[in-house]
Amino acid sequence: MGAILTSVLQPAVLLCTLAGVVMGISFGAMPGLTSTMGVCLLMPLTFSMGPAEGMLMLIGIFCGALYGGSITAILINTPGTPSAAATVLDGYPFTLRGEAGRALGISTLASFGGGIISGTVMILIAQKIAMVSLSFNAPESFALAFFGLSIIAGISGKNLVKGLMAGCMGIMLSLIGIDNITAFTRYSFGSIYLMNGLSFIPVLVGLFALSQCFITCEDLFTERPPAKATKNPLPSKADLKIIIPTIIRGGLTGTFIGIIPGAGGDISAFISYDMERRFSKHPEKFGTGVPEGIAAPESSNNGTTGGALIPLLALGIPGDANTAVMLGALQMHNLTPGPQLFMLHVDTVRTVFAGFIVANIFVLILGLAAQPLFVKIVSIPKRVLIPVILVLCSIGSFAINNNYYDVLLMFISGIIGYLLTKGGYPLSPIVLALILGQMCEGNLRRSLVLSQGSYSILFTRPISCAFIVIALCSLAWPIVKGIRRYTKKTE
Amino acid sequence: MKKIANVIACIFIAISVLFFVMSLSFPAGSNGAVGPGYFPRIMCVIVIFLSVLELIISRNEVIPEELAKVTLFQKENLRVWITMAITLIYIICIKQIGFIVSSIVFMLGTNLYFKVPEKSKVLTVVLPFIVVAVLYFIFHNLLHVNLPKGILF
Repeated sequence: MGAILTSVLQPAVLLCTLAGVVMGISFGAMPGLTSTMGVCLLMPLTFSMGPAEGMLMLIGIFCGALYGGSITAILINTPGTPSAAATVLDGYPFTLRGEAGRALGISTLASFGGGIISGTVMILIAQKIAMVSLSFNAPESFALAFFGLSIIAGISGKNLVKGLMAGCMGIMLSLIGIDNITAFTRYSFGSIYLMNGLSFIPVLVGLFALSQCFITCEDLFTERPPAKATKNPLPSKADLKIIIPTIIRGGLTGTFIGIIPGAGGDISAFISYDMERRFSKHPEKFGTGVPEGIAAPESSNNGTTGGALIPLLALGIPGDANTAVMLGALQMHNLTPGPQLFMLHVDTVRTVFAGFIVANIFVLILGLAAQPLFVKIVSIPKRVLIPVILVLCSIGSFAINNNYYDVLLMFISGIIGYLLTKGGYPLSPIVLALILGQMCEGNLRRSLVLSQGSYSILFTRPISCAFIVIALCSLAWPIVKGIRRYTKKTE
Repeated sequence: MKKIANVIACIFIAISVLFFVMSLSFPAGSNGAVGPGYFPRIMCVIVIFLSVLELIISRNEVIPEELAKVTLFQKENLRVWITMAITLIYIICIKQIGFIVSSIVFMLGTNLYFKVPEKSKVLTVVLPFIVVAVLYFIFHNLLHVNLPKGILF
């Protein structure tokens, strides 16, 4: 315990976490800038740091952004992130009544509570899940990667076919470069640069940060209504009495939903809000500005952070775009998620766990004390930010490998991301597929070598079979729903 | 949006056909192992199937009004294409004239194009220098990244 405290209380670790939380809240609070964009842009900065410091900076952005979204949701009726959409329903009525400070206080405390609950659950179960995966061989690893890919169906929303198309295209792109098993070069078109495969981070920066800049350019001169700083007091005793049970329920719901790959903060916030309304003694008051209406979605969306980190750290399966970037960061530091991480880098894992709690404490402190600062940051016009972000995208992509071609790749990915978004194609499936594609293919081929070409090996091993069945179910359910929706529409 | 989506589906089909044809020249597997072309071929077939499905579905699809308005080559998209062009020129210039000069010129240019900020002309000029100096300090001095140096510095 003493060693963990010493490692997490090092000035460098604290500073990185604090910087991550500050930037996360700023990114989350600004409509148009996403948490994924923040994580992508700041990732190149983490390469020269230690793995724990780098991870904590990214975790700080993740936690901070989910809280930051509520600031604009409450003050100007515009959620900074999709996760804060449910907070608008009861948050903005507080502002209309002149109680914005009270609403922000509730939101800050709820976000902190949700984060702490999810962090505690993560600390308790992540290692145990990782140890189960010690017995994994090629078939289980293939099944796990296949399960990870099945998330694509879940994160595609209403555009299921487009999501699956984007995911499959992502898998194809992941196959570019030297084949790990036969050393045969695939789809490199004679380019030395493509022989090692597509560089993951520039693609990510292009898809999420650069394309978002282009989209923002379309309504560059539409300014948001100005947000006014308010006093942000701690919630009163009466409010605390109401919101503490809500925070506990929301935090646990968020954690559970966060563990399920593909389900993120936006889904959990709405589920929590709806649950709270259903079980409330006065459901009719929801939407008019009740404390539970803020506490439920805010505790739940911050609860997903710790939940989402469990499959990432224990199994190496990213549940959404944010954790996909973090997986990339772990790989850049030569850390392999799973049992190896918990056995060989136990100090790093402990520091990350403790740092996660510290990040949430920073959310609480900054949320209560530095709210006027974030309101000022929110007021920076988009047209001032866009050129800075464009430069940051370029320099960040270059810094990863000191390779100029990475900047070009980032630019091409940015244009592709923009065009795909305009065509209604989701981008997250491409990223998940780029990460899991090779793992899936490599382990399938190794499994077939083990079984001398028989696919039965995937179904005769219980863990592998279970993952494949779950993956098929999670793929089939949205497809069935999509077919039903389509047939209803055509009727 | 429907048109854009359909064009993208056609591009996906074209890429998949190209990848499929290329995979036919990959070496075959042996001793039960599948070759390097096996998995790409499966993916190509799935992408082609899904793309054709998307083209069929989209024919009867009723698109909400706000999505139907999504365009690529209208007046409101002009700023995006110009920003893309400026960014491309900037990226090319990074290699030729170095990070510092090209970034300052790029930011000055985009600030003028975006009319940033309307109130203070001094800030429009000073801001790029401050941002580039901060980024240079972080990446060059703290992270030890050798930023591209061109003919100037």
